[in-house]
Amino acid sequence: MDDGSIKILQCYSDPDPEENFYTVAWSYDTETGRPILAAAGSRGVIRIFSLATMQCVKHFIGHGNAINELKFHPRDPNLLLSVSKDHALRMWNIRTDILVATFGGVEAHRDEVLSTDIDVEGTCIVSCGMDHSLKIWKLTTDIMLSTINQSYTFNPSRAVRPFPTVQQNFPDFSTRDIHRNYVDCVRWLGRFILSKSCENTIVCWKPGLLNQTELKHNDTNVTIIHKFDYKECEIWFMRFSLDYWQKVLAVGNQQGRTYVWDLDISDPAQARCSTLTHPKCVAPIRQTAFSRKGNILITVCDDATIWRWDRVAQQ
Amino acid sequence: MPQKKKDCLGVDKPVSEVQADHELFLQAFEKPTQIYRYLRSRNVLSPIFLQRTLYYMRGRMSRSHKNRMSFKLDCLLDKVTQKSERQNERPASYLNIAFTGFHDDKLEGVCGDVARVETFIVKMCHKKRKESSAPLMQVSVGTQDVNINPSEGEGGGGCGRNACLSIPTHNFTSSNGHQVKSYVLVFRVSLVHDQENAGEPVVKRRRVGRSASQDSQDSNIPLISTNAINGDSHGGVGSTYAGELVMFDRHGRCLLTPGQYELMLELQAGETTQLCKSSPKKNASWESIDTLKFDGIFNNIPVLKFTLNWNSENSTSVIERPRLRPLKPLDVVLANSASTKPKPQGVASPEAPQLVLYQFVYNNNSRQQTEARRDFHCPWCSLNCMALYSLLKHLKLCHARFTFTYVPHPKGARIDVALNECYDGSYAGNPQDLVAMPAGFAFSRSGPTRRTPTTSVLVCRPKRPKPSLSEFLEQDDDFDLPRSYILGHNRLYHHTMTCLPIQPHELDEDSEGEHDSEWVRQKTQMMIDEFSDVNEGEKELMKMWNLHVMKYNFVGDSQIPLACSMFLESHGTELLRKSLYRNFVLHMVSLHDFGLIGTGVVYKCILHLQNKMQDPSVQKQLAASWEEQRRSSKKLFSSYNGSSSSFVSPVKQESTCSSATSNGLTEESKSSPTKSNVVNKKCCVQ
Repeated sequence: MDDGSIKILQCYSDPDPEENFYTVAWSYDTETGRPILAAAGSRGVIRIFSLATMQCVKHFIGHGNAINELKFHPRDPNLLLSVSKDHALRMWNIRTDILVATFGGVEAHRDEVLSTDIDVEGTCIVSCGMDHSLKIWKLTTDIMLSTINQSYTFNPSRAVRPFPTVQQNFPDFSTRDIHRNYVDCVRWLGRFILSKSCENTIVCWKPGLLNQTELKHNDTNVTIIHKFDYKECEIWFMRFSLDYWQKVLAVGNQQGRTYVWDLDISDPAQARCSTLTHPKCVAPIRQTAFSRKGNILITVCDDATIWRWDRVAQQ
Repeated sequence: MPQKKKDCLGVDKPVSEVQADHELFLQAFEKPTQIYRYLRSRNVLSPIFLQRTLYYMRGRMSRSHKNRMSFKLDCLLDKVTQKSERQNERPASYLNIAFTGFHDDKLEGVCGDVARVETFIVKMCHKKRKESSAPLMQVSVGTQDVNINPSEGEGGGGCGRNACLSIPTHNFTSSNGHQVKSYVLVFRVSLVHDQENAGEPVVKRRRVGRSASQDSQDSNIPLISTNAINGDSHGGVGSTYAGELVMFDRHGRCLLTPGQYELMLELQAGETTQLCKSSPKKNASWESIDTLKFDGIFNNIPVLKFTLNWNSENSTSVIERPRLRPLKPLDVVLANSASTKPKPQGVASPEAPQLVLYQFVYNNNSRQQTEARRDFHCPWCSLNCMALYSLLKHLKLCHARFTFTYVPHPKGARIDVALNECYDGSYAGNPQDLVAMPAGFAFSRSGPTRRTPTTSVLVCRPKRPKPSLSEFLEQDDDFDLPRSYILGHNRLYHHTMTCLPIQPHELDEDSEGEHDSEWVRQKTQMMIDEFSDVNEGEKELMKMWNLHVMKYNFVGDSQIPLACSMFLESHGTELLRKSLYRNFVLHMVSLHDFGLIGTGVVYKCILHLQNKMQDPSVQKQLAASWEEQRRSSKKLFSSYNGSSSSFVSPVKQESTCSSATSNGLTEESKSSPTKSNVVNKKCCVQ
């Protein structure tokens, strides 16, 4: 709200009392333009809510275990990526209710997949998980593009065979050299990757050598660009976030303190860090989120509190 | 729950325990009983099936098929014409409406003038499936002239003359050409003091969207109060007012009781030919209770007053103003009102009513005995089963949460009721219903839904044993469990890799075979590429051979000769193009060494390959690659001097050494036509 307060607009409750929602993602219905919200959690069911009608309009089953993160494709609001405790990622076309691809198998993650992000152009997915690895999956291969196209025109009632879901077993890049523990959050920063574990640092790195532009499957090189350090965040499942324009980075620690970096500078070593604290904010901050303009930051804590921080222009 | 509890327990147990037991007993029986009670009321409102069609409920079926013996198609027309003649002959009844006047306070100075009232019957029919909205039909039944604003005294003494309208009741039958949902009387009043503009009623309008049956739910009073209070009702020349009177309510009961009516009219937007009025919601307004005075309502609104009654005589067009008389009893005659009356509960029961005793058994102790019933009504759903066999069958099938055992009794029957321990309450229908999207679609009651068929039984007429009560006697083994007639799939299966439910049309094909998966092929190739101690040519042959074997799934030793020949068929030319002749020969030798193929097979295969070499295009390619090898090996040879016997040496033309297969076995003197320049460590042969 403009006056600085927070107002609850809608509230949804799952009919199963055992459900715990872990993640949400926003998109919109390409036919009507109305906003929709996707939510998923411990039951492994993705629910799609239409906010205009305040109903759950769709649900997707198929994941074998809890879903840890949901992300929509930046260029195609119908493509939803979900990562799960069942070691796999899935891409759904929510307009036609079709499973487009699964990213799992012999060379995919070997433990829970905790986080994922799609880059701004929609060409690559990066995923990370409990097996300490980060993997990059290309979406621009012929098979992926043709399957995505086919998912829009496939008619299940006329088809003889089920939809030919892509079963991508082989990532286009994989590394375990960045972190020494579970990697619980990853985001693209242009062509670089920001990822964190429970070692009190967010690492900015890129696959391959510094000047290398293409991804190689067996490449063992990674180049670390910068490390953002903070304190007292040694528990798992703490997420950081970037604002829409990727100029600000925020992460919370287990004592209720939020660290904010300004990324809009050319030399990463000069990235200034501010800390946001409040005497009442002492519980672990699980997630942070920026408003579209980047001037409001919301953090959520384990004690069910929500904190709003406004960016104030310097005098 | 049946009355009169009588405990049959022994008295040696302590009272509290007895009571606790009793509590448990009651609780145990309570849940299924509540479920069946709920189902009873739901089946009354929207039944799933009709009891009279069940084979064990013949008593309830009052129709018989004896007419079928004498039926002839040609007689159909006669039957219908006779029926309609009979209808016409019957003295028709009439709905008589005597108009007393049209009152509008706003019309001043027009007292004594006359307005024309035209009455319409609007038929609202049932919507057929393809139509977008319920069809309406409007029929005019008469036009009368009424006085405008007649004073009270006028005609009070009985000498006033009033316009009267008589409508025969066969206009209001429920199937008058179409299946009619409801009838509405519409009165249109137009002012006629300007003779030129003799207020013709405006173009017939279809009142789309005004479901009058909805109105009747709100008000059972004859006054239709949804007509809005229209602000600018400046009546004048050529203006028309209209009002509606709903005749039947939702259940088909006639709302028009005889009496005096005042119908509020609404000004129609005169000359415009709009087809539908503005939604009633737009014009409706809320009145708070304290401002609502019944007298006051009618002060500002044009009102049509008339008297209505149902009569067996046709009234003349102008009659005496009715005096106050005691109301006639309502004798509404509706031609097809039989549809609204509940059908009689079957014909006389085939059996004389007997004594039926219900005994409830819990934990093998009988707990409660009911009073006897002298009829065959089911205690849970009040269904009259007509006969003992039907009752027992109904109990056993429809109330499967209990088990019923029949014990013949001197005076009738005793039925022991116990909880069914083996009751399976899982969903017995189409498993696709539970996972389909949108959720709950199959269970919605908004009309028929397209179902996904998973079974293919169309008609089933099993041989039924003669109905006898013996099947309900106590049995040790239940061999007459209802055998399912549905064979095949009624489970929900899921795909292996995607865990998505298998749709019925996908059932025929098993796509989960895990045979020759793409990922296995890719992985094999990647793994072979990772070998560090094998040269490129070997790797290539390994990949080709492995893919071939995985594709055809050779599993037995005896299949290897076949595998070799098929391999050459499909990959022979490719082998030669990639200069893998020697590698292949080596492979053949290895297979021979392991005893998988005999020498004859080795001979045949290599002969086959050499025949392929005769193809001129292949020869050209081979020659080119050997030239290149020779060049490169010369360079190599100059640096490595005679260490191992297995070195590449200047090559002779392959055509000269195409003779014996045994040549292939001694490799030292021959060049190795592989691509690589690296020493071939793996070429040694025992």
